[in-house]
Amino acid sequence: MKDTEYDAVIVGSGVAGAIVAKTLTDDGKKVLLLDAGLESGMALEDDRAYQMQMSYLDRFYKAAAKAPNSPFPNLKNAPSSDVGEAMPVEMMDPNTGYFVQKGPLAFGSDNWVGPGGTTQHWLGTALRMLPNDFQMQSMYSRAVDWPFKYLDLRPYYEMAEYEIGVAGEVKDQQLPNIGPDYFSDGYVFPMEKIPQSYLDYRMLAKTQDLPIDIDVGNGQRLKHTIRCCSTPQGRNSFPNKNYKFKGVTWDRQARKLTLIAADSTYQPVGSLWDDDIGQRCEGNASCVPICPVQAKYNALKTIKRAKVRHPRLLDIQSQSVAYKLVIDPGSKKIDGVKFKRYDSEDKRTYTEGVARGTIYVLAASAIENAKLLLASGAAKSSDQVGRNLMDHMCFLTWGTFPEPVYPFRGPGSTTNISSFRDGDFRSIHTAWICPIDNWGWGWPSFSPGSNVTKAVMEGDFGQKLRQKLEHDLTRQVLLHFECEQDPQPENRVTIDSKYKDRIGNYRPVIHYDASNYVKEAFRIAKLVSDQIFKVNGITDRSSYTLDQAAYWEYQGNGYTSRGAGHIVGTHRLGSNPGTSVVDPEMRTWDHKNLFLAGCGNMPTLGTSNPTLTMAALAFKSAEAILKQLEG
Amino acid sequence: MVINLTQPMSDPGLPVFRAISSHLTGYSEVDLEGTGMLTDYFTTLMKEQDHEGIRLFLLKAEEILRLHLSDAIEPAIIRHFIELPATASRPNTPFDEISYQGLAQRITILWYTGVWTTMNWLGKKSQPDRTAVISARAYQQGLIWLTAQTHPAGAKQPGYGSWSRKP
Repeated sequence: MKDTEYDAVIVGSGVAGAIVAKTLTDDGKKVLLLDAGLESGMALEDDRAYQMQMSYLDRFYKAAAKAPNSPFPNLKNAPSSDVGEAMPVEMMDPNTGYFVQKGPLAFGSDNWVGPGGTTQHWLGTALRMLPNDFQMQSMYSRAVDWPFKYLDLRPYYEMAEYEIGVAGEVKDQQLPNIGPDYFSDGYVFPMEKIPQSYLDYRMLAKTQDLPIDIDVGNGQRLKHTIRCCSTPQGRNSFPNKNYKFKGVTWDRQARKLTLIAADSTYQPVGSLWDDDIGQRCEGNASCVPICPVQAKYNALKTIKRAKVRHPRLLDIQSQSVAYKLVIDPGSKKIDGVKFKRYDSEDKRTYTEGVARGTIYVLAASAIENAKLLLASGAAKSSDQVGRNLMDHMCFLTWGTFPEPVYPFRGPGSTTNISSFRDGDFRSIHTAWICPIDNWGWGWPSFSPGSNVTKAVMEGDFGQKLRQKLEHDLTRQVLLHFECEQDPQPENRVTIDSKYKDRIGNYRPVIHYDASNYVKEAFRIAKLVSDQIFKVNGITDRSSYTLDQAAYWEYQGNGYTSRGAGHIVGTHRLGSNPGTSVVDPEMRTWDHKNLFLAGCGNMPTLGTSNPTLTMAALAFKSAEAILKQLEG
Repeated sequence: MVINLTQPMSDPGLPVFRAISSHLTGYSEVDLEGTGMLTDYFTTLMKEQDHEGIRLFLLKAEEILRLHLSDAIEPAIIRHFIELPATASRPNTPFDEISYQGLAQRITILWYTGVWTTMNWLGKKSQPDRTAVISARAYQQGLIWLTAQTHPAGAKQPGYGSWSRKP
């Protein structure tokens, strides 16, 4: 007998799973959300939520390295990767850690497996992709086109900006080749833009509209005018009085999701434990890895809305690690998700179960989704599952500004150099976005702590030490060029029965490298950085060395790449079942009732931090699921 | 309430620790007391370092502090606490100073970052290094944040928009 208790079973409580769960329950559907993290972490209200946040914060304060996952428990029964483990591949022991890194380059990004997923530690940058990002093959003969255009996704971006609560300024977004319809008529973000930093203004003084004309070798010159703009972010500021919407609803007649017109001013969503807390960003300067007041969006806010509105429609089952899909041999439809429900954080004991529903949605992250599909032999007809793993490969340049600019304040970044996000150069090297960072050299060199150790080791103490630290730390500037990685079939997640975790689930085996298309972008980025540093009087302090996790030499110079945490591409969508895993509605080609949600769907990455696009795609797939459920 | 009179009410080493910490960090004794961490750090020291080493360190510190004039204190700190044992000017470290080699540096790092490290940059290694934030409070009270004219990341938040102004 088929026990179809739920309309949908969703695996994963990150932003993609949360949005699908909320959209379906809002239309009266019954949903089971399976989460691999601890039950205690699925605390959505009042004192429990507050105590949970305090425990995360305490772990963060005490962490020697404030890595993205440092506030959160890394569970032996449901492990997460740790960027702190990243080192050159040949130095890594495949029997330790979570990722099994096969190289040649180390994959330097992590996500977090647990309640709220990686939105717990995301920075909050909420950028839409650009129109040409969707047509890389037709425009630049690179990568692949998406099966739909930017304008097709635009309504869902608006839904995502509502759900996440994006603060931004439309008129600042002077982005390359976007056209007049990039934002719909009269559109504003839900909240006013987050103030740009003092450091931004100091950098902008000489960088905004800076003309660049440099010899890039091979008889070529790069002529470009640098443009910077404020960065839209998923963190609370003042509501924009002209914002027009108050929610998303399923329009039965039109069979689509629509935004609901507002009759009053937008209300920022505060912390889980007290809505009056976190109504504005308070400048904790720790967005990654944790916003203490939850002014920054996290997916538990969406889950809470769903659970409060529909307590009986949404069931959440924690400590349940999905490990295999049951596939009906005849119809090829999914007939259940097998999970192991572990008893506690410390013990390896668990009970097995099968969750059943009409529709199944995997929303467990690009890596976990791929792993689960591979372990199930699901969606394999195109042989694309796990392939085309991508990240923004980040090239960091850092230096000393001639005067104090007072970093280590405010959100991680509030301004970005946007003019290299699209252009004809994309046929030669990848595009990049270049955030101006507000946290000094924290990322490349663990400042400010490392400055203390270094100065003390050099024999400084007393007034001299204090003055030196003040002088150096207040002048630190950092740029990072987030280069769009192109899809490569050999950059992939696989599984191997040799490598399993404590309760017998696969660990991801990762093969990863950078193409020359990216390496050329790094080379040009360094030349551009040199120009920016020169006009600003910044002394370059960047260094790239062989002992760093992802180092390469290219045309005579050394470069180090760092992960952005933007893990995408492992189950890409497309219009051709032979070259993609899911259709444009994110339904697997092979299994009619299996949908995939999350960044794994993205055929290309563009130059946007992918969370907003993931959220938009989640609304799009939720719409398709509703259509399918309602026949 | 019973007061145990066999325990001293305050540790006589504490004032010396406070005073020498001030010279090591460049912050006044009042600033250091203002962190609320003085006793915690002294306790950390007692827990982490062998007591004979601490005794000799504090004795030497007391001797240095008696010089009163800061232009005499600084060279003495350099000579006894900072200089590497194998510099050309000092080929042989006095035996009693070996027991607290690196301690002044560790204390300085502790005040600035809340981190206790067993890292030994003086060239001797008996055990693997251990580096740990001693407590959540220690992290938040690190002098480094004040020095950098900011606040500890994730605590003592300065408020909406503060980052757009000069501190």
